[in-house]
Amino acid sequence: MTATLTELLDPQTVVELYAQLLGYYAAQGFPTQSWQPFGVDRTRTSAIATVLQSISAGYIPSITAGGLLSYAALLENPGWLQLLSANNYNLPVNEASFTIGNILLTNASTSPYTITAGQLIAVFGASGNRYINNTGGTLPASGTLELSFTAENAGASYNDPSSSGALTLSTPLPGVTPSNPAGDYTDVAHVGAGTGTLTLTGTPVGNHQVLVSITSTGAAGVASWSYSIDGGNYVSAGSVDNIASLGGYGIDVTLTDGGSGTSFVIGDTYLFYTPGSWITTQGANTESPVALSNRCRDRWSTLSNISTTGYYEILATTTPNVGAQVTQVIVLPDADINNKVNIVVAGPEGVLPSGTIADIQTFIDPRAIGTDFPTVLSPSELDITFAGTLTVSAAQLAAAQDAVETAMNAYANGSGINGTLRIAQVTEYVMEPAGMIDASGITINGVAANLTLGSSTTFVVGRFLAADFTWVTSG
Amino acid sequence: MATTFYGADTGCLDDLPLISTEVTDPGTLIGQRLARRLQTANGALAFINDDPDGGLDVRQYVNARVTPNFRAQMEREIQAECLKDEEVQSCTVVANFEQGVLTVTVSFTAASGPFRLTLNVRDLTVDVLLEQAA
Repeated sequence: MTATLTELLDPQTVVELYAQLLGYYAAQGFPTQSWQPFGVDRTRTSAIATVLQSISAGYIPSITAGGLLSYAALLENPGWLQLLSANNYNLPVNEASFTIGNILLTNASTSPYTITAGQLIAVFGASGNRYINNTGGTLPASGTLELSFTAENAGASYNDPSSSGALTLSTPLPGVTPSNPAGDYTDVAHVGAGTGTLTLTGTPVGNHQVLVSITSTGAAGVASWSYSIDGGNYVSAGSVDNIASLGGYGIDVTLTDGGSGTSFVIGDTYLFYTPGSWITTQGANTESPVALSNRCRDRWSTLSNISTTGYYEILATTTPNVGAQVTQVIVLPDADINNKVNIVVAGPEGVLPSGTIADIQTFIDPRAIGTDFPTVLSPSELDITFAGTLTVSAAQLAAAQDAVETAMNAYANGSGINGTLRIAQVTEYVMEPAGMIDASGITINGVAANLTLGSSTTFVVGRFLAADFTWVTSG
Repeated sequence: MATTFYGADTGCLDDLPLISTEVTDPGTLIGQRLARRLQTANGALAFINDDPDGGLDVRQYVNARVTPNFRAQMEREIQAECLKDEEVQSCTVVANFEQGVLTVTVSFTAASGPFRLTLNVRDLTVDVLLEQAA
């Protein structure tokens, strides 16, 4: 008998197996009709049927599905898919990664401190997340020292916000307080061989991503360069060595020559964001089965010398050391430049650090196919505010408010690049908590309509700002 | 008198014998079932998806503080457990404690006649004697 795929995936019940066994016994002349509870043969047959059912349910469907990409992704145990991806596609799963960020220590005492790696544990009051310093240094008396801290555990839940007020040391040093300011800019991530750097000043306004591309080689003031803001078209800056208020956003950029070698080399890129973030490496969860199975499918595209969307997706998500951080990626041909391929990536908490973007760009550049000009970008972030009038049982008010806040936070931050936030979905989420009676006048960013983020030429991801509901109690 | 058919089973009181024996004698069939029932913890068969409510391990009564009420309750419980067997029409139970040994005598009637099952219960062991009642 040849079993079908459906039969292999659908476990048999104990009753079905028991009936089959009885059928075999009866066919051999055993008096199965007379077997009573506590009869030896009945008990033995029940035990056999139970063991067979355990194998039928616990092993056969997993073994069957474990060899098929679409089915393995649906198994409760992700190990089957991970085994398949590693063995058949040479794609190990992206393991969970640790959040790393910079924390500023301010010493109000008159004693300096020598701090060694692993000595300090910083605790974020809002989340309870703990981070341990991975670098050391000397904190001078009445001075400051910025140290790099690594999350105690891997995972996306460790991406705490910048400038978190309730940040303390659980390994206190007298007079020392920690803080995690964002700063005006992130570090500048440089891809290329030039020795020059960008110096950023000014008073930036709003959330922006700036990509500077060197278009002719030379020193500052000689090299030509262009810049792109928020993934928009490049604007030529000519060969000046500085520009004030780039794009009218208060971003002042100065090209600074390196100490030796060629400062600015054609093709080099420099990427930074404003405002900055205390996070330098975003923590990520273990790659989900859906994401891993998609990556396996994209693997086929790497066998061709014709570039496809899947090809650049897999490059972005398989970039060594940082691929795990890329949980969202969309690939779109540029609307204006015919060989430019925009690869828009984001992490579990939205925009990835500029260093991560640069790492991905560095990985993809030598693998670009033909005349493709792949450009790795982050989406812009759009603050999302939900509002409306919610009616709730008075006794359940506090719990419902907490639940709605959590749900809205997850919904906005999980919208995905160029996703759509829907009024109906918001209504469903706010009505879920116990005690909810009614919801009316729901709006997203002040408009009572679905909100579609981005377009074919702009890339946007939502960021939760507020759940600004008016609460009415009843009963 | 018409013969009642009880089927057949593998002979086993507390363990399978080295040589498998087919049992067809009505009293032996039922008696062995009752003996196993009275040595099985309640609900144990549920683990193999059989009767979830069957079983009463009489060893649980050994070393208990014996009062007249306790003895009567124990006899009722054993009787009720025996009556769960579909082929036991009626039964009476007499329990005695003597020198640390619990003796349970189950006199039951099936369609093929009366039988008597005696269990001598110590802490961990149960000796079983099955005989046709006079």
